[in-house]
Amino acid sequence: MKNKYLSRLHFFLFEPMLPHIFSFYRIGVALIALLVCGLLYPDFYLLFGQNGLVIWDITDTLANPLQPTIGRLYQLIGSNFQPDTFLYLFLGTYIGTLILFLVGWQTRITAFLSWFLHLTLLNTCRFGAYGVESMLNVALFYSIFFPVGETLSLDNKKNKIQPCAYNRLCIRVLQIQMCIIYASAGIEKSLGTEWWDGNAIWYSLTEEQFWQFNFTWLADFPLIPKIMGWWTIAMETGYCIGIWFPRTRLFWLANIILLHLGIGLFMGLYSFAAIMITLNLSAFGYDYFKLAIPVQYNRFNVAINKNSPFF
Amino acid sequence: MTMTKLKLVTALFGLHLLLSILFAGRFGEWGIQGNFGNFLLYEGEFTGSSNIYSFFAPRVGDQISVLYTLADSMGVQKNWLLRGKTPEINTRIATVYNFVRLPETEKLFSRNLGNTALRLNPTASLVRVSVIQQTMPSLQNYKNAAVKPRWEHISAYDYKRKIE
Repeated sequence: MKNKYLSRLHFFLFEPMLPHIFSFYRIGVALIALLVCGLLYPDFYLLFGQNGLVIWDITDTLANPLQPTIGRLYQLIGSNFQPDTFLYLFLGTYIGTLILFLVGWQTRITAFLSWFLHLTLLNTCRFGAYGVESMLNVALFYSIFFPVGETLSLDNKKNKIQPCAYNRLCIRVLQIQMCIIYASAGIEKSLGTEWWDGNAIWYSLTEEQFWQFNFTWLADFPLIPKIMGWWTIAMETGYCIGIWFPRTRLFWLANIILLHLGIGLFMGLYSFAAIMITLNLSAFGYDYFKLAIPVQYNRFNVAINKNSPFF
Repeated sequence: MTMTKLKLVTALFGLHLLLSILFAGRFGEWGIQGNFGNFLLYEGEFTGSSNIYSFFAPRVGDQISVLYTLADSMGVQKNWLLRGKTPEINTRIATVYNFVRLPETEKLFSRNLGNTALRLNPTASLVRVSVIQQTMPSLQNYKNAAVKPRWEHISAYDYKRKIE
């Protein structure tokens, strides 16, 4: 009996798979990080500059001593430049690194540098950071270890790519990470009353900071925000169960993507929506990815185990 | 990759995910101390495993904003709002404003915002940083027209430009 469970666990963690989904992951994460840079560029000094919205002195004093910040990096290596010049040199380096990561050149190194530079940016504007920075930090950290440069990259010089156990382990790590995120978010939401009585949806759509469209008409139909609140709790809390069963996976994935599309469209949090959709598709879109590009898989003549309890 | 190496990597990933679960359960607030505690906190902050993921939970907070009243040397006053050039920038500005509401960072951040306002408005010699909060009525109250959305004054600090 013990052996049976061990062998199922072994199969779950190490069943060989191809690394193609990680190319989607790399390209998606890099594009979103570049998009965020582009969206922040017009007021980059305001957010990250020495005398910006939160000055370097405050950021550096309140950050943990080992955490990298642009101010600390400036003290360490940049004192030959003006602080403003150093800030934009930093941005240029970050964008350059992300582009190299995007095309998959020296992927392991550029993934590490992208993660480090992103972490430095995150710490410098940590009082203004919200979900997208945190999720990019998680995604870039995993990129250092995941086989993100195996396909669709300049690094890929192999003619034939073999399925391997490490790829499966990495996808499992990402899948479990996503389950932790949604379980935590769903449980925390369910602890308050606002998500049950519809007010959380109401506030999210009508507060000035999230206002995209006029949703005040929802007050005349309170059942709609109430049901949306229940749906959000159900989808997030149930994610860590529903997403694992082949029969409910597509339903859950589609609903979670719909949830994030809603967040992007109706609350204006586009980049957050984009990173969450990318992570979800990378983690659990593998089956549908295979269906979308069967030619690629057939070329490698890989026998897909249709009896697998997980895929 | 050999099976031994694979198992080692699995164990490391497992530890990382375990930390993610602990931090999601607000492990960082349990008052962990000592070198080992610090190591875990650093690991969490570097790798992102220290995130709590309580997006808009358990409730959606009231919106905090800041109204700047600027006065020049002639005493002419004007109200001013700090707006970014893209919505993404405005989201970050709004997030920073949340720290003006916290008692432990209120004065520090108010002074900093006052500084920013004076820097971006070179003709101003005085600035009043007024922290305001948007209170949205609940669904029921809005429907009954009992309460309207309103901005409430929370606190205000005055800062003068230093002449060098």
